[in-house]
Amino acid sequence: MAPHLPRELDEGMDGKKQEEIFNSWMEAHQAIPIKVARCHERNPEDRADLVQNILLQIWLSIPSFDERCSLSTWIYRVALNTAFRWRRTESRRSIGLMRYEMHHEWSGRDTPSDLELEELYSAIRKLEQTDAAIIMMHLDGMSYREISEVMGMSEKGVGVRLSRARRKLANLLGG
Amino acid sequence: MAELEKYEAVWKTAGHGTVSVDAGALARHLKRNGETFRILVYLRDFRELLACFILIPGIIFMGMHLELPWSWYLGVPASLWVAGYILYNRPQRGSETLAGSVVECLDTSIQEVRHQIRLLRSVFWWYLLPLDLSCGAFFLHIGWETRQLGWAAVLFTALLMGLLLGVTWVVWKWNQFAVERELEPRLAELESIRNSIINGDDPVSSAPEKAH
Repeated sequence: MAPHLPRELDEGMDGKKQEEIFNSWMEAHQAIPIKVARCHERNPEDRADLVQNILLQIWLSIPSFDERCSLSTWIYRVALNTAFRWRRTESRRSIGLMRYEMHHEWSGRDTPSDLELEELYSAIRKLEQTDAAIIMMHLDGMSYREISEVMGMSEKGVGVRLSRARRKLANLLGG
Repeated sequence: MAELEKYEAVWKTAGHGTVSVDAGALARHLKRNGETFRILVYLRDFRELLACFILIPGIIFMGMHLELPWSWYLGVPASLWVAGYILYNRPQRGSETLAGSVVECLDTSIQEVRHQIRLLRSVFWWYLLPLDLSCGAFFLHIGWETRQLGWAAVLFTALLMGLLLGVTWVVWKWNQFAVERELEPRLAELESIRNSIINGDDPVSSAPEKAH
């Protein structure tokens, strides 16, 4: 069960509490910013910048979490919205300020499954941004309803879009 | 599709990477830089406004100190007009949260970019023309007052008017360049993502692509 934000922290949250919440959320859902960034950016430096930008936005958006959707849905929203709005030059400028204060380590990619995973990411990056986002959430086991909540489209639309995106992805992967 | 299922299984089992964040350092950084950042955003939004409000006392002081003609003071209503226009059209900054749905956030971004494009496209009418009219009137007035100097007065006035037009053209061109280089491609990009989501919502419009 994902750690949730206690109601009383919605307003007037102090820094220490926010830090605790952020840490617990990241412990449970740190893969989401990484997945979104890997699906969005090929270049490792841009990817790292995007991850940091997403983390920053998650931090800033913590007080707005109202538990009307699951935490993973909410983090996906913030991560995707950041990725869609993100522009490399701006990011570099703003994130440069905290480059030395945040540490990121990428896991090594030397196992066969890591290589296959990279192939999958590479194929996802070739899809339209919207298709890539839907595929990513589908791979993470999210329901049509949850995907529709993130994207702001109908469940029927998600279904149509997903089957089309899966066909494209299968073609890209040579299946 | 069997191949895809193999990759889907890999997605579920493989490690996607780890990120360790020093949340304390992030908090300290945000606290330290928060105020500076807010001031920078404020100054960026209001730099023209500040310029106008600095300009008005400057115009009045110089006019009185140098005993300049009445046309000099046309700069005051022109500056007030520009300041008022900026205040009236200033973008509504809501909370910067990105926790809404993707379509909602895209709509907000599209609205912001369109607003910025509209302001820069019409910069001549609300910014340059009022200031040009006041400056031009003053230069022509000076030229008329010094008409006894003959051609020298005509040439000097023409030079000032030419300079004014040159500056106007450069500022206008610079703004149009910013629109074409940055804002319009950005708008197209945001609209394309939004349309892609909205069209995906409509099975009829997505049918032709499904046939591929």
